[in-house]
Amino acid sequence: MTGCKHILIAEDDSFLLSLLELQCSSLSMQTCCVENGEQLITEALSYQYDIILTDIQMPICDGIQAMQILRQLGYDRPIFAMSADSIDCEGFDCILQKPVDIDQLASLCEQTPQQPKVQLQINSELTSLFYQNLAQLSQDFTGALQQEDFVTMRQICHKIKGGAASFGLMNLSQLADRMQQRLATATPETNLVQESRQFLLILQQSGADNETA
Amino acid sequence: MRQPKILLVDDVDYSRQLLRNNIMALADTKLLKNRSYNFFNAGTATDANILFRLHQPDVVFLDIELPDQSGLELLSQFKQQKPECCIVMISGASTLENVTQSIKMGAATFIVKPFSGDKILAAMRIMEKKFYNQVTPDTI
Repeated sequence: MTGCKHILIAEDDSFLLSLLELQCSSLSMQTCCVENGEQLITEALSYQYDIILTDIQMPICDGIQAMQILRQLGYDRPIFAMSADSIDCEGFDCILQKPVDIDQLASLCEQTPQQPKVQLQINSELTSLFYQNLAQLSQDFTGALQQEDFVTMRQICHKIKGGAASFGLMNLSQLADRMQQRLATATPETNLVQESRQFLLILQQSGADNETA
Repeated sequence: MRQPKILLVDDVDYSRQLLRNNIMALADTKLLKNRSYNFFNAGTATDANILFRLHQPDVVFLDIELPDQSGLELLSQFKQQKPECCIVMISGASTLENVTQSIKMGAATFIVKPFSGDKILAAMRIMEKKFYNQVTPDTI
């Protein structure tokens, strides 16, 4: 058994990605899957994984570039590469031959120490500050919506996304993320005002839930 | 031992407070070398510039999305003024361009929000490596 380690897998071939996900799950590992090097960097910087397993040839940013960027940023946790070709590249902890031998991967994961998790410290003063800020953002969003100022609305969603997740409001964070993307990519046919009103209701409800808690 | 000076730059009050609280909590639990730090807070790039010149911090936690100027521009200015300063970039959404730009300009590391205890600890450990490599024994 490898314990409940968190592994980030980057592979642009969806079939291979599903296979690796299944294999890692069978090793009692928690998996997160991405399809290119840019997503790999973002995900590795967003959460603290015990292990990264990456393909080499991927779109946007390949596995070697992604590894080098992470190493330049001081990322010191294990990064394993997988490749059908033999490669010689410093920075990877191991290079696995494709197709990946699951026993070899299991052995490597077994040897990788699980990173101690450090809890984020949030006290009542901090929580109170967060909800004051959320109330203000809710008012700002209402004003921007009345003006149909989608740029400001998008900036507000961006702030809510990061803050809400830190304070455990994962649902609100995800909705803010989705709303932000909708506001960034909407076409004229999209009913943005209606969607934004629905989001505002949820935002106001999140603040009200805290008051009644 | 000299207290490292940390400048926290974020336009959201609770983000700065959260960073400060968690750095202090890490220090209290002896996960960091120092027991105490000198903190300075800025909510805008203008304030950050003034505080940087005044205090010459060892570490800056710098949000990319600031109301009056991009954090990337500030990063460049800070590195010109004090190349050895350890700068931790923060963003709610990292793009490959932001990350590579940050590296080129000399950022030590990059945190993608939401904050977590692990991410703050990892950034502080990187800061410690740089700080203790630079500080000569006489100044400790």
